[in-house]
Amino acid sequence: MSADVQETDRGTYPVRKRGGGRRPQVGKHLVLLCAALVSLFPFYWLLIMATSSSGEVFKFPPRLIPGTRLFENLGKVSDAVPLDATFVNSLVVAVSAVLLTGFLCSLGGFVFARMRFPGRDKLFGCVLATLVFPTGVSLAPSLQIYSHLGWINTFLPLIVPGAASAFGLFWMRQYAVSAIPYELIEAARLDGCGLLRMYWHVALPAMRPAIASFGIFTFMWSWNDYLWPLLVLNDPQKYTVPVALAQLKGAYGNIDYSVVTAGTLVGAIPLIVLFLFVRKWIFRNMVAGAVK
Amino acid sequence: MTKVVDTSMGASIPARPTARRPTTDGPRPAPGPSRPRRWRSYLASYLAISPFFVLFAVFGVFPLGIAAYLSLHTWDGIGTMHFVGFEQFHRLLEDSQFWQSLVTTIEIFAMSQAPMVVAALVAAFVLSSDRLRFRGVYQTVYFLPQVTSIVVIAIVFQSLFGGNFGMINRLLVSVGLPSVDWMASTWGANTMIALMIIWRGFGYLVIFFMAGMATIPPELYEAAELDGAGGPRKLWSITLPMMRPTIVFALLTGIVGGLQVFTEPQILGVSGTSVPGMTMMLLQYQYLGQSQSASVGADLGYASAIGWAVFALVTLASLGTLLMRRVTGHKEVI
Repeated sequence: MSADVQETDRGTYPVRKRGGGRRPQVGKHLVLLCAALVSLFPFYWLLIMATSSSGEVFKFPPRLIPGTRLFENLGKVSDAVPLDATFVNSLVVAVSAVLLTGFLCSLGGFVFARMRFPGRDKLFGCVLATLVFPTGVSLAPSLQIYSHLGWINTFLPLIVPGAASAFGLFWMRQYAVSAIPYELIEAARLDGCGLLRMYWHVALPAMRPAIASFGIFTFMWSWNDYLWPLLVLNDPQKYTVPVALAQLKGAYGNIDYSVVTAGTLVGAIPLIVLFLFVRKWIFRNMVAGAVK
Repeated sequence: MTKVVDTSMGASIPARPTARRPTTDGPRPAPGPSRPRRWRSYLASYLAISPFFVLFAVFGVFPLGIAAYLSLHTWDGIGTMHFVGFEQFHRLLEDSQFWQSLVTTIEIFAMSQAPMVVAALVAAFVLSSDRLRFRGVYQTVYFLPQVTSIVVIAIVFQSLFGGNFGMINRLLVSVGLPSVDWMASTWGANTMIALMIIWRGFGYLVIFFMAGMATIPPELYEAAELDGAGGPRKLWSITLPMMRPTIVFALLTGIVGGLQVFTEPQILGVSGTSVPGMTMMLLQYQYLGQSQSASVGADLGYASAIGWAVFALVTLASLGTLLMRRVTGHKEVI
């Protein structure tokens, strides 16, 4: 299934073959280009505003080329929020979430896929059943649990609860079923490997693509998460990037929008850069995870 | 191809995971291990999944019980808790702001999902054409908004739509139309929020639909071409019917996020008793006692009742989608 999606002569996707030779596909490119311009315009607009002065932002007709005031605007950002500290916070939260989720879900996925024990399928069914409950149901209770644990104003609510991800367990189990043959497990068992050594030496190498792609998605979700950081963090020094940007908008929104947009531009860049590096990987695995 | 349907169902209807048991059980080891050894190996498995299940029980299952308990009480989160029975749900039924938030949530969902699915289907169809150049570039550009934080998107869109000085209003005025106060009316706020959702989700759906289209056998298109079918005809008669399971799956996954819209209106400053842009999730947030701008008193019981209403809406929408699939699915090829 995933093999014929991935391996074709024309890149990632097999394409419809058409009869006839090359035809210029002006009409198609016109449609696609329009959509591309719409997709890019807000980024362009963000860049324009972030580099303008407050007076220029709302001038009409607007300026079309970026200005030179980016660093000046960024200087004012730090008056409202400690943006550099929030970057570190977001990075700490996202990396911890990736490591913990990746470990728990890959170990669980491997055990559910390749170990036999009583109640296995019932337990897995219970985990999947909770997927029908949206976040909205457990907002108030979860908040109370975190506050009872003394977790308010720490990063723990953003890292630990999400690690028991039903979706992650499902994803990893699916992949382990297709990637780890039983023969390998039996061979390792005959060599006297215990479960943890089997996980480390057999499952982990075989599941690397699934772990990496799930890790990338977890990183992006965690980095962009807004609701939970907003609910549990009150100290500006502890804010993650999205909460800090919202705070910046609250502080500067009515005074100088170019300052808000300068911070916003800087806040948006890390994930865009990460995405450009791993985009082929994302396209392939997002599809494999969803369609497979 | 059957596999496509099979697993997507597994992801969305978790009630039938045991159906896969035969495929996961491999050949049993020839000489069965002795009893104590078998239990030791069971024990290792249980220990290995225990950290996951401890977290899962504490943060995944336990809150659901508390949510049920809280919704029968009234509590500001600090003082004493009072049992009120089903009073919170009764209050829900009589709260006009709640009903308006329900309508707003559904309107935003419809206004965003329908155009987004159609646009993404067309774009995916065109992008799947043979010998198309720059396919990767288009995909990358379309996907960029998806990796951008909703906070960032809301800040940019507000500067485009906002006030008298926003770009859109300046353009409207310059061609002789009246400027629009987008956040003052329900339809204005809904339009703005739906546009943000479409802009962000479009690229994801394009990639998703392209993968679905890649599984359609090319022979079908060749046969249609022999019959003289053009592009639109092929999209309508071959791609769409073959894509039905993929589209249904996309809708099912879109429901959970699409009915829990929170960040966009929150950043746009919707709060308190205002109606335009007040979604159910944002209304629930007003009662959590965390928002400085909330003009209503904190009541975690009422917040939980709203939470259950969100759950009911998501469940109904999912069941409706599945039912629609069953009703219209009689021609299904798969």
